[in-house]
Amino acid sequence: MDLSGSKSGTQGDYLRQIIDRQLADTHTSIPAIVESFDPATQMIECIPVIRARKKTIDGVEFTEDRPKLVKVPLITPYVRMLGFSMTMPILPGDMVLLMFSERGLDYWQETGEISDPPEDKGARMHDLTDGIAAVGPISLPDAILDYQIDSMESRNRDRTSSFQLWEDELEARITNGTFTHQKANGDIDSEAVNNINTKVAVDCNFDIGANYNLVVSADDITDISGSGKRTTVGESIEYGESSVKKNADGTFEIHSDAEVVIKAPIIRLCGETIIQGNLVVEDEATISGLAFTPHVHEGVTIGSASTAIPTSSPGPGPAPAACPGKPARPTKPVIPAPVRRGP
Amino acid sequence: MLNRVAKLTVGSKIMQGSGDYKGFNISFNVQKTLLGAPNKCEVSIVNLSRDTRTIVRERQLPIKLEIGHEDTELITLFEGTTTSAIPVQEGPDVVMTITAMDGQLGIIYATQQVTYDGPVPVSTVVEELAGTMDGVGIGPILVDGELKQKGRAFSGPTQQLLDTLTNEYGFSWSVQNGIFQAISDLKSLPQIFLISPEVGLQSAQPLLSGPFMVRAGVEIQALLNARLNPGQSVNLVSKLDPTLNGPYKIHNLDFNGDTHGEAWNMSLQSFIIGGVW
Repeated sequence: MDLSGSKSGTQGDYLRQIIDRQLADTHTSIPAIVESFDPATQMIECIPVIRARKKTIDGVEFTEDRPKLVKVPLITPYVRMLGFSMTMPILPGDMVLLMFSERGLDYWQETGEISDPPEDKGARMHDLTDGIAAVGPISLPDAILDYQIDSMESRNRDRTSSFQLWEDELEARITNGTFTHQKANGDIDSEAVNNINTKVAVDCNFDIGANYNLVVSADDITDISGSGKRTTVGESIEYGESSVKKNADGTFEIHSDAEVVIKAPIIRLCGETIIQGNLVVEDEATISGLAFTPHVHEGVTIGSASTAIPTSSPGPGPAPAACPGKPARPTKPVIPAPVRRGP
Repeated sequence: MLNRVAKLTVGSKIMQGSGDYKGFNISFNVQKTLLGAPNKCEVSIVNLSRDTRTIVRERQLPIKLEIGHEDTELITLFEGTTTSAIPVQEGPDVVMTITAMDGQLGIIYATQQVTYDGPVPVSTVVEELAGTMDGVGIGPILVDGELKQKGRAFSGPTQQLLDTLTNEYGFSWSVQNGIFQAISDLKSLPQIFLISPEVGLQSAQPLLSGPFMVRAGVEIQALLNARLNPGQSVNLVSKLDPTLNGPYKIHNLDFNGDTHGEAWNMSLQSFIIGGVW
């Protein structure tokens, strides 16, 4: 401000000088560069980025840094009643936009409530002391690369990690690193109308809700390596036209329109076995330790009388192993095979 | 009547005049204030030599005006720097009128960029702000209070920053003969001067203030006393209006003198200490 009388000195000029001087001291808004940030109090120290213009007594103009501003409160999306907030890591060198309160903030800053002005008399207005800092003003050298214009995005500098929201789509992407999505109790809840397409290494329980289906279309499921039991709670497992099904009454069905082939050196059926169709035994059969083919009956007579029990066979079959939960059945002594006699 | 004497020093030139018409005919008007503006001085000297006129017309020369009476110690009434010196032909005489201001350069050009991080005494802040004024010494700083916990940032012309603080913390600042002073509204400098008819009181009338026209102070006309300065107190004793009697703090002073004329008096606006004005 030149008040040395170099202007023409009319009333208008004088009035203009007064107005200019008042405006020069009426702080409104200015970017500032962060010197330090206290994450506990969320207050910053910063220096306004536009220097003050000065003039020496000899009329030489120069500029000088404005003073460092301290205890500047921060603006970040925050609602104090429910406590929601969105925070940013603020480091020295970051940019903020300072907005200057029209009154002193001292007591509000201390109490968070409606407060008296700090000064005993008069009113501190638009003072440099009363700045509030909002993060984010962007200068040309700091322009964000690859700025998305069709979606809202939270991202890192090179966009290798991002959280992007379109009108009808949401994408969270981590190119390098770990993506963690977890509720406080450790659960992960996901819901989709159509598909959940996931390619992940899952190291946790993966539960599909009771009313939903899990469709796995991978060519191979190869890496189920847990040592515990596999439990299926649903009613059926279907393989095309065939199925394994548990009925409401507790019965269990294996159904196939063609054949059910069970291959094993020994197939053991533990429990009463009811065969409702033909039983075809293509090899030797042993019933209760007696060879079914061939065997001998004694006491064969004419008429309707019964023969005696079979008395001989080529020899007993191997002693069956016990079913789970039952003692092994002792091998019966060999009884001579009955002699079949003709009528 | 004692013989008046005025001695003017401008740069290296010394000019003196007296009431017995010896030396130069010197007349002056000096305005002093408590309220944050440079004090002003206008001195007229008749018939300086051409060489002296040339010398005193240089810009921003130190200037000192001392006054008194013959055979008494001269008292400095004004000290500052010249802002202009203009010669005017008045009949056969050349009257050189020199204007000067007290601490003007320091007051106008001083700036400050500083932040206080907490409750610093306001007197410290004021002293450091005053320290930015080139060519101005630091005098009494009688200011109470301290900055709040949040601290304070200052950026801009020192004069403006001081004015901001005066409003908030209730004090006045000024530069008197090159010395900065700041005085609380509730205090005054220790010197108290009696003004009564016996020591030159000519008239006194109340200064009214506010919508209810409350008497805030008094305007006094008296014989010139160069020892008075803003911030000091006067004890008024008026026989004409005793209701005005009492102590007042001097806010504004207006001195007029003429070694070859009638004028040798002062007008002062003084206010009740701690009152509304």
